[in-house]
Amino acid sequence: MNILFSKPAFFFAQISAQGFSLMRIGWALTAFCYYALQSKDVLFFYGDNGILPPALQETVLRNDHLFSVLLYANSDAAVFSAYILFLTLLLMSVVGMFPKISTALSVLLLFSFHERNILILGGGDTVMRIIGFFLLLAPRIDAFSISRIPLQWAHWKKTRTLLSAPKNPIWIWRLLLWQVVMIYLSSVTYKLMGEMWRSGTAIAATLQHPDYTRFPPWVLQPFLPYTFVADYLALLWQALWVVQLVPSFFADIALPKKIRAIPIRRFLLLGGILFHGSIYILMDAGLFSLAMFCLYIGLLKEEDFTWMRSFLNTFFVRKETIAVLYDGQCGLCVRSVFALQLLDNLHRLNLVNFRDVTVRNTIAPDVTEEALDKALHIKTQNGRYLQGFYAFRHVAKHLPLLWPMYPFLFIPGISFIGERVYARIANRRSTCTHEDCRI
Amino acid sequence: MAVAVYAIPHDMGVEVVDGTRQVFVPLFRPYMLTTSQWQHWNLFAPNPRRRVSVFAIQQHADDAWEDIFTMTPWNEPFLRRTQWVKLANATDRIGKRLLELTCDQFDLPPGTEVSLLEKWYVIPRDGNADWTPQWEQNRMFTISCHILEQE
Repeated sequence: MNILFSKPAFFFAQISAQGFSLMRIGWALTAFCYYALQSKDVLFFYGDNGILPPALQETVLRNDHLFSVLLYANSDAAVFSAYILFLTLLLMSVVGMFPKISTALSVLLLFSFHERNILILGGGDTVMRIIGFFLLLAPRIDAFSISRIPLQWAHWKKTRTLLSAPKNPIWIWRLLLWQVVMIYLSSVTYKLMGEMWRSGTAIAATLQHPDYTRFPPWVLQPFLPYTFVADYLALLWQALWVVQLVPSFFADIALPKKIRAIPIRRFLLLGGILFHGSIYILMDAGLFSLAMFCLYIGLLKEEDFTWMRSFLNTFFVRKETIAVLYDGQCGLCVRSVFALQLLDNLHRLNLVNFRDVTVRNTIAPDVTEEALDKALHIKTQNGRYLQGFYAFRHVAKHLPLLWPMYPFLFIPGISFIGERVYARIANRRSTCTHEDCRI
Repeated sequence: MAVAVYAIPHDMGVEVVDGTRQVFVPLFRPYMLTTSQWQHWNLFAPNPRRRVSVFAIQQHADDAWEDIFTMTPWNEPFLRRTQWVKLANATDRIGKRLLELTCDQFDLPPGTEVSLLEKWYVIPRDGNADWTPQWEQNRMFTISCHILEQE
């Protein structure tokens, strides 16, 4: 223990808050969808005239250390107002509007709904409470938030670079990691106490349970004799999380360098995606898998994001550096490329102010300033120029947040509409010179 | 530490482990409850649930029971069904409350007898696919409808 506390960096080294901020978004979005689906049953579950009227509460709810705002909401209108407020705060948390405050209030309301009726809760709800608590504790969860955009914009105007991500002390990340390890070690211990997990029949029986399975029996039957492999792999993978509790100084002494270099945490996380992803695909187990994915996001560190970027750049969408030639004297254009840079998670874009003659001659010597002035141009890695709508469509392919809309940009007729919309915007932008110019 | 203590499974049958849990859980209980961090990781464990239940709320009319509401894996989405089933299985008083609310929801006249019926079968422990369900049934609660007092 002394070794831990003799190294302040063990608890106070600064790490990127991107993981926790993305966890905030995932958590709030999951909670929003989950509770929005309960809209019909809100008063039934949580109202005083529902399943747990005050006379029954004392038979179900504990009588100590209990906090729930809803215990003070004595009318259906008050309960429903709290529900609407909860959903609103969750949406604010998703987009990052006053992220710390909206998330903290969302968490308190989540706790309140859970504590008001514990009978309907499951494992996924517990994970959501845990994530909420960590979001309350985390000093910074404001990366990827609209509240940060004005700061980013002010910085970008001066330097043409984005602010680096906010930082958290590493203790919050370590606490989250230890919590995840406890979940899996506890879970595997419980499972090993059961005869069916030990004999390898647990998954086969569960897949035949119509409450859970997503597929009809005839689809799954041929696979049932082989599911014992998945049983044992699941137990092994859960037990392996114990490795995360081995102190690094001990690993440094006991293990050869090659083994220490294996990114075990990343392998465990990938195993978790496979494990919970398979559960999600094969079985309807409620919120649990999605909540665990959100928890995993909080465990991602800077190097994991770098690794994912490198993976996507290598295997998914071919890496390509795209020169975006924008008009540095046009407010709308400058704001547009600022937005593109915010979305450029794969680091594909090279923003080039074509009013800078030297740079323009280096990057795009074969296009005149007059041509560039008429529409946004990009230059692809193989030297091809695209402009207007077609430039946007090409860029969208390389910005992950725009991937959901990318296929729609190929619908017949969209390019016709896109060209005209773009031309309209381009004409409009020539009439304004300041940065507040609006489309 | 508190989370680790709460994560120790109940009744493992190992004296040291069970003793540790009994000693330490009360110490951390105020913290875990106040922060809503109580947790119990026995999902699908020690053994997964093998009982398949369908529920029917029935009313007694013309000397026969007839369904007025059913809750089965095939007619309701998972989330709503699992929440409802947890309520039906919670306690006698909650189960009867479920029936009272059904009387109210379906405007059944006071004095109408309503009942919660569970039909169920059990999936074999060996995971073998070659078997036939053996349905059984259990009339869980019966009440007479009355006018509910609004809180």
